[in-house]
This record gives sequence, C-alpha cells and structure tokens, in this order.
Amino acid sequence: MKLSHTWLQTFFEKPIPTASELADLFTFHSFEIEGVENGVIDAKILPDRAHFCLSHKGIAEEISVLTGQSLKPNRIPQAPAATLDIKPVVTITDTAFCNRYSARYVENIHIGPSSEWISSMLTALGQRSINTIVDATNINMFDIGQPLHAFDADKIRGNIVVRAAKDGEEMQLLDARDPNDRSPNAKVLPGVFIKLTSNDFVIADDEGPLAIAGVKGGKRAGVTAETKRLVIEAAHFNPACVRRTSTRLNLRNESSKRFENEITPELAAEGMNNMCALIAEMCPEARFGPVVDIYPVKPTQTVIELDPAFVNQRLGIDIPEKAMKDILGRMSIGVAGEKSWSLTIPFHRLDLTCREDIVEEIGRVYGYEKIVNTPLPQASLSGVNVEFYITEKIKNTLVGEAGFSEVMLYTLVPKGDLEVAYPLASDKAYLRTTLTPLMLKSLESNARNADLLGLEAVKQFEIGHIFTKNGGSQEYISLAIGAVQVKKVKGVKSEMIVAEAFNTLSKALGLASGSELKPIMKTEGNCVVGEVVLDSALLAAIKTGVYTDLGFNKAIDIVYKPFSVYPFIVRDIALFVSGGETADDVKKAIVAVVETAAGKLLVKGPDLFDSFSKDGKTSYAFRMIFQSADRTLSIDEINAVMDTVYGAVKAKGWEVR
Amino acid sequence: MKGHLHPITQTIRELQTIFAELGFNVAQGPELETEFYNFDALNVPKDHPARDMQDTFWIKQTKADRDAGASRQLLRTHTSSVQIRYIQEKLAAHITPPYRIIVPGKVFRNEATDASHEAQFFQIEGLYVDKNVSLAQLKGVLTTMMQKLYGEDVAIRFRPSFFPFTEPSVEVDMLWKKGGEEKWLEMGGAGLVHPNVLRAAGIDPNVWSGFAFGFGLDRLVMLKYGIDDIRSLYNGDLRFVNQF
Repeated sequence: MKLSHTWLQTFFEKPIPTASELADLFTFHSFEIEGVENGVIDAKILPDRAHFCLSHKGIAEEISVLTGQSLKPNRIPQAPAATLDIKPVVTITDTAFCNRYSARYVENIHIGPSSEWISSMLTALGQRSINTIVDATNINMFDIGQPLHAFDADKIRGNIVVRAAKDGEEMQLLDARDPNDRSPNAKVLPGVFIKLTSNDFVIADDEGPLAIAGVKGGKRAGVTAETKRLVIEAAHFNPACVRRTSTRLNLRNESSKRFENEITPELAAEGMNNMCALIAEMCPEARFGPVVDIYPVKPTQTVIELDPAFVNQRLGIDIPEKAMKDILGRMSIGVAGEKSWSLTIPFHRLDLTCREDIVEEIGRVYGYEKIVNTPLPQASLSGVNVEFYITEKIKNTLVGEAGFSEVMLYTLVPKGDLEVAYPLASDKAYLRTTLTPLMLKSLESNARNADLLGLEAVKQFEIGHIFTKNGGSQEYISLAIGAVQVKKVKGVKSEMIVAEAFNTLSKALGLASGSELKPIMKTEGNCVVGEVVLDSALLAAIKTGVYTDLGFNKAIDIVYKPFSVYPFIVRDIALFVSGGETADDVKKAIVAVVETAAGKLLVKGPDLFDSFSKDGKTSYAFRMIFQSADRTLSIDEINAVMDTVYGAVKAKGWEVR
Repeated sequence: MKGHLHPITQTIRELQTIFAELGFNVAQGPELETEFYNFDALNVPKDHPARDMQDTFWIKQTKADRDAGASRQLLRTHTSSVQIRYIQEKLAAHITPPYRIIVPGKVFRNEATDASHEAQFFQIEGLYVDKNVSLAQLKGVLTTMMQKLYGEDVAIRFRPSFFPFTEPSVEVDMLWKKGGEEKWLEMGGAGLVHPNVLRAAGIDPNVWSGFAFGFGLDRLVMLKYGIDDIRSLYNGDLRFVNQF
C-alpha cells in the first residue's frame, strides 16, 4: 500500500513526523516498509492489518497510536441532506454474501477532469486520474478503505438486485486484463465479455448484471463523459466469494483486495457520506435523494476478556498496567474492570479476536526491543529420531569410509507419477519417482571436471524423498550411490565402486547376511548408479544409538570460492632429470616459471602424477590445469605458456620427454 | 580420500548439536503434504488472503480423486506442517507437553528461480510447547542459536509481522558483523504458537502455550560461506560440494 505523507498530514492538526521517521516507526512497531520515495511510503500490509490499514485513515490511526498525536475531529463534512424524493429500490437475495448495501441517487452532476489536488494525490499512489466521479470513488477508497461504485442512473433498467449470477450469464466490461495471462503485466483489453457462474455474485437490474459485486463494474451502466445522474453504491460483500470470483476471472484489483481482506460493514455509511460530501464539493449544484441502506444484520462488537498479567507473561516483560491502558486507549479499545479487563474492540479492528492478539498490540507498541533474552528451563534429550539418525549414519559411512561426496538434486523432474498444477517449466512438472536419472546426469558432468577436481573416480550420493503412486505410501526416502571411474585403472570399474559402497554400508548399518542392501543398478556410458529405497522394514532392521555416536562436527569454516563456468585445458609435462633432483625441486622450478607465464589462469597443479627411474635418470610427470574466470581460453595461448615452461626446464639441463 | 558432506547437511548437524544441548529433538514429516497440515490446521483458512503469502505447488487431482472427495495434496510450503503432525503423534502415544523439537527439511515454493530464489529450499523449524512460554524465551533461544552459529558478538531483534500460525508474530533480524562492518539481516519468522493451532493439534491453549520459528537454511549457509547463487546448492556440481 502506497501512502502519501501529504495525505496522512490531513488527518492531523499538528505536523506529523517526516516520511522517513514514520517509516522507522512503522518498521519497529507496525509492519514492514518496502521503500520511501518523494514523501510516499510503500508499506507491506499483511492480512491481519489489511482489515483497516489499506487506507490512509487506518495508517493515520496507527500514527496516532504510535506518537500519541490526536486525530483531527470532523475532517470530512456531513454530506448534503436529501432534497429529492428519488431513491433506488434494492433487494439482496443472499445476505450471507451481501450484508449491507447502501445506495443513493444523485442528479445534476457534471463529469470533467478532477482538481489538481485530487489528481496529484492519485498520481502519487501510482493511480491514474480519470474523471471527477471515478476519481471520487478511488480517493475515498484510498482514504478510508471502503470501495465504492458509481452507476449511470439513466442506464439502470428497473430495480437493483444483489444476487448470484446464473451459470453462463455474460456481461461486458469496459476493459479487463487478458483473462488467460496471469502475469502482472498482462495486456488490458477493451470491451471484454466475461462468462459468470452461479458462484459469482452480481449487482443486476431488470435486464441483467450491471457489475460483478465488489470486483468490477460492467460497461452498460458505467459512468461516461455524458453521465448526468448517478446511483452511488457503498456495500459490504463476503470476502471469500469476492476472492474466488476475482481470482477466477483474473480481475483482482484495489476494490476486490479490500473486500477479500474483509472490512467492517460499519464502514459503508462513512463511505457513502464521504463520497456524497466530495461530490457536493466537486459539483455544488448536485442534488441528492435519500440514502437507501439495507443492513440486515449489524455485527456485534467483539469483547475480549484479558488479565493484564497474561500480557506480561507472554511477552516476558514487565509493562505497567497504566502503560497498557494507555496503548489500548489510543487504539480506541474500551477497557472495563479492575483485576480482569473486558476489552471492547472497535468494529474496524477485525484482526483482534482473542487475548493473544492484544498481547501483540501491546507488545509491538510498547516495543519488542524491551524484551530481554531469557533461557528455557533445563531439559535433557532422550531418544533419537530414527529416520534422521539412520540417514546421517549412512552419510557418515559414505563420506568417511567410502570417500563419496553428497549432492542434493531437484525434486521436480520431467517424468513421474504425481504431477503439479502450474509447474514452473514443463521439465519440472512431476515429483521424482527415483533419484537415479538426475544422479546419472550429475555424474556425467562431474566426470568432465574430474581433472579439475583432482579425482580419478567421481563418487557421489544423494539421500532424498521420492514419490510414487504404487504401494501403501506415496513418499519414501531413497538412497542413490553413483560412481564413474574416469582414470583407466586395470581391474577397477564403476560398477565395482558402487557395489563395494553398498557392501560397506550394509556392514556399517549392521544388516544381517541375507538382508543386505539390494540396489537397482543403472548404467549410462561409464556412469553407474545404484538406488535403494529405505522403506520402513529396512529402517526397522537398522539399530540406532544416540546422536553423539554420529560425531557431528561444527560446519566447516571456509570461504567459498566461486568457480569458473568456462572450459579448462589440461597440460602434462614429463621430464628426465639426472642430477638427483627431487620431485619437489622440479615442481618448484616449474611453478617459478608457470606462475609468471600463466598468472591466474593456472587453477590447479603442477601435481605430480607419475615418476620412475631408469638408467640413472628419473622421470617426473606433472599435470597442470588452466582456466579463465571470464572467457574461453585459446589453445594457442596455453601452448605459448607451455613453450615458456619447456624452455625454462630445458635451460636447467632437464630433458623433456 | 574422504568425501564431502553437503553444506546444508553440515549446517543441519551443527544446529542439531546446538539444539540437543537445549533439549530439542529432531522431528520429520512428509514433503508431500495435505492441505490440512500445511494450511487449515495452521490457521490459514481456504479462500483467505493469507494463502497468497506462499506460492504453492498443488498436486493435480485426477477426476476420480476429486469425485471421491479426496483431500488436496501439495508440496509443503514450510516445515511448520510438522508441528501438528508431531503433537498429534505424541498425544496419540499419551505423551503430553513439554515438547521441544527442531524440524530440518526441504520445502517448496512455486516462484520463478534466480540467484536468490529456488523452488526448493531447506528450512529449520523450531517448536517449544510448555506452560507460560514467552517471547523473551524465544529471543533467548534464537540468540543462543545465532551466537553459536556465527559468534558471540551477533545480536537478535524482533520486528512485528504476521503469520497465521503465530500470535504475536515477529520477523527476526540478526546483527551481522564482519570486518568492521555491521548490518541487520532478516533471518526468518517466529512467534508464539496461535491458540487455534494448539487447538487444531489437540492441546488446550488455556493450559499450554508455545513458540515456533522457521528460518531458511539456505540463507544461513549462503551467509556463512558467502555463496552468491542459491542454485549452486542443488545442481549436483562437485566443484561446489567438494569445497566443503
């Protein structure tokens, strides 16, 4: 909700704090502030405050509560009394949907551009000034939070009825967002016809719908430049119904937002008065009929019983009763009683329904900064969470003994049994039924980086939830272990690494012979993944201990280094030395020259990967990896680096193989 | 050669150790939830604007499911759904409060992804139910947690907020100091458990009270290590994982 400081000032006699001072006050006592710009505060009004804070008046009351400054009395004058005897005939067919409908006939108005003040206030809130009457409804909505509607009285045929729409009933709107585009920048299309259902509610005349109640007016009785006579509506509609209709038709707007957040029906009278007072100011020659006000059930005021000691207990602070009463008084909450209080809640504070709500009101105004850290009573832990214990034990075994790294992959995948509605992308439309496919993909791409990672084999695992339609349960914990042997080593195959890991795990988990883990294996190229579902029978077969068995450490203390996404180049250098130089001597010599020649492009190495002695000479082989953080390296560039290295080692009398 | 634990796992383990000392056990629950546990029982009614606070992945119902009146399923939008499940389970086993649990787990939000938003991420939920629970105790526990994670010189502050399942509700900020610089960072939401939630779980709110908090674990991890893109936590790249 955008709030104009100039507008807020109109509620007070004395100057109020500046916009940025107010923003600070709101941040620590009321709600989050998203920004302050040119005297306009953008406040994030969440559903509890939305009953009364989607208006400058509600916010002005909040300022009054926080600063103690009193609100100006009689800010808006009384609307003119009726001088005509013309009044609309209104029927409400469903009072559960519409609990109040006020209507008033006005004539002799003229439609034109709004005053400078009104159009500047609307512009400040990011709204467009349209004409005197439409602007008057909007100004009053942003002022007190009551949505209003004006119909062209000459276009209404017969009587007004608030009723459910008929299935398939159509009406034409002046304009509407493309109903098929739910993005915030959907195109606005003129003259759209919409189809209603019996779950929607309309304001209709003898001919058919005039407006979707609480949401949007139709084209037929809309105010135009030629309009001379009006019927003004100030009503109260059911929040859930307005929400359903405005959501389904993609017509959520400032009016539906206020109704769906629920406002008190009491507000309609003020809305009608203020609207007519503003029309009288804009068009002094306007003449009014009497107000028709159908209000079947007036709400009763909420009364909350509260022991002030409860407030202090819940907050954990010691607020004097006088300070509490002062805060409640500024909120216009009536306090009666001595030891235990009966609090009478103003109609518009629909957010206050139980004593815990009052704890929050007193706490936030008094100041949460006064809360002091307090410890809990001592308690010791007994027992372990079996699922957590076992999954962590598996992780320990795989990481520690077997040398696997843990990955966490995506739950939403292209194929599965359970589909999500409105997926983010078509390849993320299903819940995974297995961990294996993404694990294979991840292995394959990690294998390409094996040199960079300094790995001869890529070994990784995931423990995560899978979802299926088969079997008694829809959700299981699954374990996938994957490996790819990148460096050719005689007798070592990816399958064996995975099988070995499952064997190690079965032993570590103490699974009896015959009930070892039996993974489903899948191979793609050189990558192998074995997956086993940790179902309840399996979990029950594993012995658990206490958490301290698992030897949890603090998380590692490192600074993360972002890695380059560009391709890297691997270069090996093998050379013979004959003067008894050690591998370290040779490495130092290479480092000395390559660091100058390649600078930051050398990302790994030189790492010794092979050495042997023959005929009094020793051979050393080193590997180096080059990569740029911001571009793709050229082969020529690295060849030049290597030529420099070759030259330098040859100069030492070493023989490059 | 040893492998590497994912930094989320490492952080969950550290939190488990911190909270075990305060008497909190670990609890878990399903990622595929019902509307009841994720919303209704947490005082988030149908057709209420509070439902918009979390973009939800709903599971498509088959016509047969709909006709049979099966309850709607979703991917849980928060670990708070475990609050109700845990309490119900304890009550069914005739175990009354006090309860102290943390719930580390994966949650989902149907929102476009970028460097700071993922459709899946981890949360850590905390729940304490006892007699006379206060915001001061909540602040005490959160301060202990943050100081153990980030060092003795961090501090906590509360700002008013709204969550349907807590009353009062607060946003929790942490004063983060690094190299002479200091700033307040939003860490997560918290509050005293709403009486309607206790009631829905089967406990009498006139006798028992509680606090709950929910923090994004990814955020804690990213902050600790200076990770700039949340997506690197889930792309399975060992150039990331093997740094930890």
